[in-house]
Amino acid sequence: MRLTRMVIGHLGWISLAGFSAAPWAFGAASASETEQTMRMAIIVGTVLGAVLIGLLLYQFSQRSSQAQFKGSSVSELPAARAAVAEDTKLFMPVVLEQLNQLAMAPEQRQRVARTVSEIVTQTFEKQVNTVKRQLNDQYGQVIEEKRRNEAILQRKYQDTLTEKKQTVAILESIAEGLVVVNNRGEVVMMNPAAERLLAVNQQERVGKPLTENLRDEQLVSLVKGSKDHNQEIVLSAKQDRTKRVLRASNAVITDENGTTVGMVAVLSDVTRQRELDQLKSEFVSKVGHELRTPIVAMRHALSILTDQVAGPMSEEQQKFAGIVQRNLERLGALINDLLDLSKLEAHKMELRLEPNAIGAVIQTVCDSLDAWAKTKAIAISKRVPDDLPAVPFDQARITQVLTNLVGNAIKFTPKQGRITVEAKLDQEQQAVVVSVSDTGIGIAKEDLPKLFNKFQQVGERTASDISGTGLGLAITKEIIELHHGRVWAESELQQGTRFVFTLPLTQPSVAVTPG
Amino acid sequence: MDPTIRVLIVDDEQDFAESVAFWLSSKGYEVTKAERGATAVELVMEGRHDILFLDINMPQMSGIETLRRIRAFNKTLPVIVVTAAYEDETNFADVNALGVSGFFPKEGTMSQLMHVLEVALRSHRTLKPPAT
Repeated sequence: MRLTRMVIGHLGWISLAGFSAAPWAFGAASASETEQTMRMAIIVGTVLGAVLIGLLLYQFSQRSSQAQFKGSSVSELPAARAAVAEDTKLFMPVVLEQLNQLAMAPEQRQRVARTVSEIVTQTFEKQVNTVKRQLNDQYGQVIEEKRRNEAILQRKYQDTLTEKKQTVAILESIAEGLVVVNNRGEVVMMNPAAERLLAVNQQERVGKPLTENLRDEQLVSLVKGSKDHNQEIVLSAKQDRTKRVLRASNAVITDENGTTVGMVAVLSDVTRQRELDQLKSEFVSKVGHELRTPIVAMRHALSILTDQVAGPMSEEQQKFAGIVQRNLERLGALINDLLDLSKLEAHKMELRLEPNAIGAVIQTVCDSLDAWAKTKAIAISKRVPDDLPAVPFDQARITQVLTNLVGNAIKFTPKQGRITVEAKLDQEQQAVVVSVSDTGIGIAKEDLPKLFNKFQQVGERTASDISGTGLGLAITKEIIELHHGRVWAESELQQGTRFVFTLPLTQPSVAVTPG
Repeated sequence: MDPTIRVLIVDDEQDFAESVAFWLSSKGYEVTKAERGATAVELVMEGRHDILFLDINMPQMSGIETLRRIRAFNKTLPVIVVTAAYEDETNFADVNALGVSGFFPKEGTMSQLMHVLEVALRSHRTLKPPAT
């Protein structure tokens, strides 16, 4: 770039020198005073013009290299001076030669030369100062811009730092434990709550596999069982025999390409919650037993009356004793259901899983309920293929489920209705699908999701024989889910209802939970 | 005529015991009731009973403890253990090891109770249920 500038600058000098020399050469014959004055003017003009044009060209070449300028500085100023000085060398001989040709006394010539020199110096300094000012301005702008950018960067950095501090403060103050692991299962971060809950130290853990040196094997499931978004892990304290129950909610972290890069686990201590559940379950169980005792006493006492062991009863007496008996049975059923449900909810119900034929259970249930169905002239039909494979299930519990579903169907189906109990193999689901369909009053769509809730009664009850504990379907759902199956209902108002449940062909092996 | 079978019902739930006693009496048995395990041990010691209905859940002296004390001096008396349903805590193995002739859940019907009683009596060499 410097070379370009020099070339342009020199070309400027040469062209100017040529241009100013021309009239001089043409007018050399007459040496009048006017001619001398002209020559002087030309000399001064040549010098000033040369300096000006040199500087202008220099500036022009500077601007043309604006891009480069940004990176340059005032250190370029001496270069400008040098360029001008170099050019002065070129034209000075021409000027001196012109001066020599003038008919002047040496003192006069010296004065002229001094004057020219002063003018040149002043003009040059003036121009240099202008350039210097311009350069300083530009430099100042660049510096200002840089300073602004730096300030923005600094602010952004501070903002990020503040945000980071806030995030860290939040993570450190939340009661939930937070563990972040990378895709190799190494701990990237864990907050104090996680350290406390897992009884480990972050400094020891970061960068190491979560499972390393951890005695509690359940923790391994934190990283390995990432498929389960929610899981409970039981930790035994090292110091004493107390156990803590942690609920881990896991989420997989993926990058923009969807590749798994790690996992974040949120741990909450649900020990107290579990203790309360346990207390609730024990309370329900205790209340259940306590309620059962007087019911049993009443039932036996009543049976002595109704069996007329204590003497004959009139028809009226029998009728009212019957009412007492029916309601005692109902109360007993309610307590049984409550106890069942409390057991199921406390995960205390153990299944006796044995390969069984669902067809046989359907047959038994239908036979036992047939008499009741006949009182309403309801026909129960069964559709069970002969080649249906045996599936592992708890016969007593599935009998309870089917009794409940077929019983419900009888309750909610008007006289002359039809009930169909069907079982078939679903290869895709790897399960036996059992359904109980009726031609009953049906259930509104919006009520379907509420069906399996406790004490949930949907729609309007009209028939007087529709009574129950309100727990049957909740128990059904728990039992089926304990079998790793699913249960749901399909229905249209006035069209009937179809309850469906699945029983997997194989049951997962029982997980061993330590302690 | 067969001698009358003498039944001892040990249960803190007197309303339950009353019904069972009435029922058994109506079927020709001679029935005595005891509310406490300690009373039962004393009565058995007197040796006036042929068979025992023993409630497993009793305050103070439990059914198991009562049976253990009885078995310390009487190893032949037929004993029917009366249980409530949902008797999760009862260790049936412990009770069985002490020698029992049968179990009757309190929720059972009176005819079921009769059945358990008759089976226990028949299995005993010298005792027979009254003819009905």
